[in-house]
Amino acid sequence: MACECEAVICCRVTPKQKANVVSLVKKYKKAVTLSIGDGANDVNMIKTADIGVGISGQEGMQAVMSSDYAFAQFRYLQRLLLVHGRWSYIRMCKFLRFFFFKNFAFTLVHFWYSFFSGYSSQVAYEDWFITLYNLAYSSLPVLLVGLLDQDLNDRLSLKFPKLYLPGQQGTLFNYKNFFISLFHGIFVSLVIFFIPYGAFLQTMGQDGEAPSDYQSFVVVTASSLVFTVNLQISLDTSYWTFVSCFAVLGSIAIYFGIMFDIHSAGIHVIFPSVFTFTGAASNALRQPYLWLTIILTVGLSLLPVVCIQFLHKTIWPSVGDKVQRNRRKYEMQLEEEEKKKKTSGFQRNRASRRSAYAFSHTPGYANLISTGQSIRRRQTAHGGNAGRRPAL
Amino acid sequence: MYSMSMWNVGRGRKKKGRGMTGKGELLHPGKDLSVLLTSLFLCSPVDCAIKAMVKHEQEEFPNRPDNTAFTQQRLPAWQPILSAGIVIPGFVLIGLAFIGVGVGLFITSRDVQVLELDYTGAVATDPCYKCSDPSIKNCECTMEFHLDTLFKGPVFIYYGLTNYFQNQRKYGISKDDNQLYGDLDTFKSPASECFPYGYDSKSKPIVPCGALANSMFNDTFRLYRMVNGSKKEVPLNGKGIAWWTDQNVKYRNPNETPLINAFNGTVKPINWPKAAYELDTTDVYNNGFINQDFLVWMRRAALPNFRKLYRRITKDEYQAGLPAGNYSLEISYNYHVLSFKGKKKLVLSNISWMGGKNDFLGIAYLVVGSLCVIMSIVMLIVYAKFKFPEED
Repeated sequence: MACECEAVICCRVTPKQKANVVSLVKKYKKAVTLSIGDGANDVNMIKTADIGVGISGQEGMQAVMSSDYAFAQFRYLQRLLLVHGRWSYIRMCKFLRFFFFKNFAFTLVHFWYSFFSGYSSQVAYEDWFITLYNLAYSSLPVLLVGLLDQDLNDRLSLKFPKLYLPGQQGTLFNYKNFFISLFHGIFVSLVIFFIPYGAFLQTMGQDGEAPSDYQSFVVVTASSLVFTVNLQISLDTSYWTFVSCFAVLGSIAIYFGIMFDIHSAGIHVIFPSVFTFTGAASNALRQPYLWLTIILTVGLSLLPVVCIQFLHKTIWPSVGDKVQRNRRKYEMQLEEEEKKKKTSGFQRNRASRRSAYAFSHTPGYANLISTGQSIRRRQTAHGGNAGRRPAL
Repeated sequence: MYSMSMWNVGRGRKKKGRGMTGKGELLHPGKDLSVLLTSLFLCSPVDCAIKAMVKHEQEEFPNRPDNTAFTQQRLPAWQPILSAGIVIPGFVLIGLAFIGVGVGLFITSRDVQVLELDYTGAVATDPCYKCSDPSIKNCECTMEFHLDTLFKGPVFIYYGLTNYFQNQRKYGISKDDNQLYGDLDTFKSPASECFPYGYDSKSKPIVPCGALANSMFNDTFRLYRMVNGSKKEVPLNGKGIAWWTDQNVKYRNPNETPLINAFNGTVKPINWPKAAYELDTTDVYNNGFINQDFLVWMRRAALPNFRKLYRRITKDEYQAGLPAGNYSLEISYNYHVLSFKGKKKLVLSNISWMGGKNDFLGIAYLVVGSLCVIMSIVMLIVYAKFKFPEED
């Protein structure tokens, strides 16, 4: 019956009973629970819930020290959930989906290549590329998405609480999304292998020397993959800061820098048997034909995704999409509201008025409240809190 | 007065809310004094008082989190959304660009002339059938062909192999890069990857070791043009057929003259008719490991059906190309491929800015370009249909 109610109030409960209520909800509703409290009697409840929030204040620091998040005022909970919680969920989901996609795209190329290499598990990239791919060539941009991305700014997130629903319903990362990432990775790996395969079938280089050798093939597939993966994350990023720009361009630059280094003459002289790709990058990448191959591969990997996303957002827009589309309009509305607030003179901010009560074994500061000493008496017609006797 | 006391209490609470003990409220005498001194000497009395208070407040809250743009997620950012105004024209432009490139590639590829002669001798009616028996050594056979029009120069001659997996993993690593770099120590002890082509049956080290070198292609060709009933040889140029980096950086001969001294105590690869130091006794820059045919062979092909450059026709009267007429090709058939159902071909080709004849890339660009244009029309229709009303 409690679940049918919008809100349930339990009063005169002991700490143990508070924890029991939370575990009841957790067990039978299979929900993610959050509990917030500020006193030592809330510690049990905070520890039992999935997320515990402590308010630091009158009652001491016990609640804060056993909690996952702590802040000073109850009203900050709204910001914690609607802004930071929502952003965190969206970032995590983008990060996970992208990580699965890029690794599927990277690995499955070998699967397709094995059909043409006698099933001998011949790698379709240089060994050093495989080592550095997840380390340097594709990880920084997605890491920054996981840290900084915001699809809507904080004021709009607070204005439209409905945007919080995808997080509660788990719509951004579930089995369906995982399989979509998988298929996306499969599609991109097919493109990255078969376009260069077709281009390398029976062709020769600009000066007659055949470029259809293994090392040039490897350079072409690796370059297309790095470009595709980095451009895909830049399409997925909603919040373009200077750092994300730098990360994407930096990853691509690092790739070319390291590749030309490894394929250079100097390093081969020092380690002849470790670096055997001498001259591959410079020979391959001076041919316009191979650059056209790379451009086609990258284009064919990215354009269908843009198209599908556009169609999806047009035909079945989510709440987030709708808000994003009309972002300017809403931001202007918010600014107008703020201006109105400012011009209407000084107002005591109601939210900071002390109206939360703490129960403790010692009298504490209750006198301040009960005698009305801490509340300014207001003679204006605002009515309400001035001189109101608090319920104890 | 009450408001003042409340304000102080509030400040006190905020301090404690940092999650630390009340240490923050203790004033540091040293800091306080320095603040006082600077304020005394550098500013007017009123300013000083205010500055001192502000600084005091800042030092009283040492636990306050950073209020920078990065830590408070307020970095200046660009938040693009892929709206219809960008996506649809973008697709049209990209589609048209791809179609343009595709047309260019296709026309160029069509203008490239290619002539393929299969001389495997698999069937009894083939001219080289008599040589296809592996037990016959030093067999010679002749193929005749006719050119209807001028075969524009410079003409390149390639030998092609099918069903030959040079990209097989174990085959590809079966070589010793240190030997090929001229390191004399490794001559006596080839690397273990070369097994079983590292030592011969009498346990003598093979130089160059490995399956990759051992399987070097050893058919030779001579091209004759029929002029007034008599055969006139077409001179073939064997210089500059391998990559410059291969010949000058990656592979080096050991530092001994005459070269044969370096090979004391070693044997030639099992399938080779001549040893490495006898590959071209007329030209010291084409002998040993830097022999052009050897280098071309060592550059592994990416796919099982490949072509490798054999010679170029660049001399004198053939600079403009091969004139129309009858030609005869004399082949020294030494390389046997029928055991693994492979085929051998001789290919004559000229090249363009994009290399040899390959229709795939041109057609692929045309297909992708037209798909882009079609999808942009589809997206335009969908967008027009789902034009959203003013929404909340």
